[in-house]
Amino acid sequence: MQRIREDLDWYTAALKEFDKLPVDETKLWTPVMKAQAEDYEETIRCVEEGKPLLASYWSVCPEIYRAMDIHYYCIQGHHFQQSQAPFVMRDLEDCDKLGLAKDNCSLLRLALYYIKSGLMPTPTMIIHKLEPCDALLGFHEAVRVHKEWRDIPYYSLDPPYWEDDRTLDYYAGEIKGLVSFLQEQTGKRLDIDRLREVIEESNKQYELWAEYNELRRAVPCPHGWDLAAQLYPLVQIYWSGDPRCTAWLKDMVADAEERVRAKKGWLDPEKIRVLWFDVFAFWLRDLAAWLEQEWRANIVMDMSSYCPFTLIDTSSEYTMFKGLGKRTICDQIMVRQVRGTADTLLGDLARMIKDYRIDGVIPPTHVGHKDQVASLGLMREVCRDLGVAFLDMGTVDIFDPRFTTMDEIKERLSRYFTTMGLG
Amino acid sequence: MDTKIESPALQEFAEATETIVNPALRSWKEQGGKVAGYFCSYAPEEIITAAGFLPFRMRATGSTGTELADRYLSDCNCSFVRNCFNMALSGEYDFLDGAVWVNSCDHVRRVYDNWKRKMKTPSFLHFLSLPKKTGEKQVSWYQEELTVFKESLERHFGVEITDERLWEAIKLHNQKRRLQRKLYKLRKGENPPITGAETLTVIVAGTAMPTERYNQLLKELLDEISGADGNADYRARLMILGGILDDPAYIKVIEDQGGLVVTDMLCFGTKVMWEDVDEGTPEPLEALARYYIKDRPTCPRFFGSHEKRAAFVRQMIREFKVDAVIGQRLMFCDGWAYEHYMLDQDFKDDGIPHLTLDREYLLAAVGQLRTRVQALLESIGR
Repeated sequence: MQRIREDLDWYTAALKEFDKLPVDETKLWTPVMKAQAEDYEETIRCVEEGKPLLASYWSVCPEIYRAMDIHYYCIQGHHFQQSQAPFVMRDLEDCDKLGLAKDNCSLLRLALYYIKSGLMPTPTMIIHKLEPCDALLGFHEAVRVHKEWRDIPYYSLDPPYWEDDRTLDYYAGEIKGLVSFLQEQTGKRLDIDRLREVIEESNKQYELWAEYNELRRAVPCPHGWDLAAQLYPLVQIYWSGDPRCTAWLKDMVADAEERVRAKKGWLDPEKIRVLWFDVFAFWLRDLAAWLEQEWRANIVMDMSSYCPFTLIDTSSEYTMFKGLGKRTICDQIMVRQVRGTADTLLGDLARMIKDYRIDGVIPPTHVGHKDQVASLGLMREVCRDLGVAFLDMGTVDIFDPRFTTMDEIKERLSRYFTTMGLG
Repeated sequence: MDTKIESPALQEFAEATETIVNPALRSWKEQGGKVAGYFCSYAPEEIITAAGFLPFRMRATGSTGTELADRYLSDCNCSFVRNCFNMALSGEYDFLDGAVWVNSCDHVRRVYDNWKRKMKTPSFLHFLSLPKKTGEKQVSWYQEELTVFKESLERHFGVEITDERLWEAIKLHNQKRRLQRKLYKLRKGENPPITGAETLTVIVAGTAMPTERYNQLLKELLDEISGADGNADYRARLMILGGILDDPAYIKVIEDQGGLVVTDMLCFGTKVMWEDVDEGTPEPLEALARYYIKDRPTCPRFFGSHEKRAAFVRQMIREFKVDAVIGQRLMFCDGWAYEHYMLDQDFKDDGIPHLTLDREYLLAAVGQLRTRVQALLESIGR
């Protein structure tokens, strides 16, 4: 757990610095930092005290984990929050020695490296999610058979390709299997009334998220990408169904609304509205800051923040499980756009461009996202039809800055902006 | 390693393998026969046969470039799909009456999305949702998918696919598998009468011509080579495994270095013929679902299946007296990247000499391939 401890130290120090600043400047950021720090602390506590610790994936029914009071961490993404940490570059270099093909997603290669080198907290149970991509399934299989972890009990969820009723019924069955597994492993029972309570709270959160996203459609956009990007981890990972998250979301909405009323944009002036049509890159914070400073360009929407999550009908156990299934495979970021046919990917792209008055789209060209890059031509056509710039950076590795340097990316984007008169 | 077989049957198989529209397929079309292309060995060729069509496994044999496909795909998509889709855009798959996909991998499943939007033919496109686990629930799911596929074929083409026709098709394809296994059995001996490259030729041909004709030719070939002098001038017995490999020339390069490929775990190989569809199952579609999901040697795209594959490899190594294993992978194939990673650990633990190679779909970097194979053979003292 060395990496988690190192990162927790950083968060603790940052929170201390926050305490010295005026509340108005930190009120939206403090809960984000606290949520992350608490999550680390709980993971450490689980390991040290021998409590059940679940390794899972983002957004695999976090409502169930909360309702059952089971702590979990994201097996392939717990290092996401550490992406700015100095040790990540060293770790990326070390994970090159794994013997795993380098044309594979670096996020997963890094996670495998952490497991292999004992830097990942050893869980007491694992949930394997088999979407959205081939690499993820391969990664989970490699984790399952890894010598040090092969005796850890696991459960996997099999997501079909479609979105119809038959699919949702099938997947609801997979989720019931997940509950049985968790009950067996922890000795805890899932209280359906408690689950209803958590889902109803999470429904409020998704409503607020949608409201917040509506406000981001304003020109100029009230917030920058960095803050808006915190909705996903808080709602989906750390505080799903937790009233603290609802309170934070209300603050976010109120702040954004106030700025929209005052026509106060995050950037003044806001010259370019960018859509980052991918999940977060390790280096996206740097790129977003550069875009803002150099080009007055704001990333006003991205794949992880675009959240068309449907609310769950809590009238019965059946509707709740089916609703959780829909959330997990039809609404969930990336899984939504990537799991099935390209229709949703292309539909979401068109809708985001129109709804957020996008000037330029940075498409997903991550070397690990094989299915998304196989839709690049189709995405380019959507952009062309809608008259927006397609800011193709060429193949990049969104988790390994060594693949394409930040300077190369900046130069390429600058050329686009200059040529198209967007600056 | 030069071939020792002069067989008309093998010659016809080679014609089928070296081309897309081979003489048997052309003759089938001239007689009014329909052809359905399929992109992965998990598409049920038995149902296509039961509809009266010729199932044709998609390849990009003879492709000369990817210029047209590159407008839509990326340089980090595998060269199989880029070449294959390029051939489709070039009109070289215009002979197809239907095309079938499963969500076999991230590259292939997106060919469907591009094909659907950019190709005018064929008029029948179908996609099956293949589960990613291999339990009973998944057998039931896939059985439903097969039912939807069957009904879709019936509706579109106005054909009736009765249980009787399905059983006939299953028996026909089982016969093909049995004949192919007989061929493999001959390779277990000290002096196998057929090389690995020739065997791949035979197996690929089985996905590109009418099955009745294929079975007849394969029987002839088996008769011709059963008592023949075999290959004795090899340095080591090799097994090859990995993702799609339909080019016998690749194996020939390996064999020219002195390593005789005696068995494999390929989807143009043992994975599609080592087990039969159970003819004792009450329902034909259940029998097919069970075969594809549970019974046949699995693909890395199924979660929880690595041990089964590793056990299969060990069984092959024992039965065929394999000296070393060569794993091959198309660049950018994520599924096989992880599988090779895991198998490499297994081989190290078991002390099995092995080599893992990345490659492009069209034969390239031959010099490097030669050098790596030579190094492997030398490392095992051969």
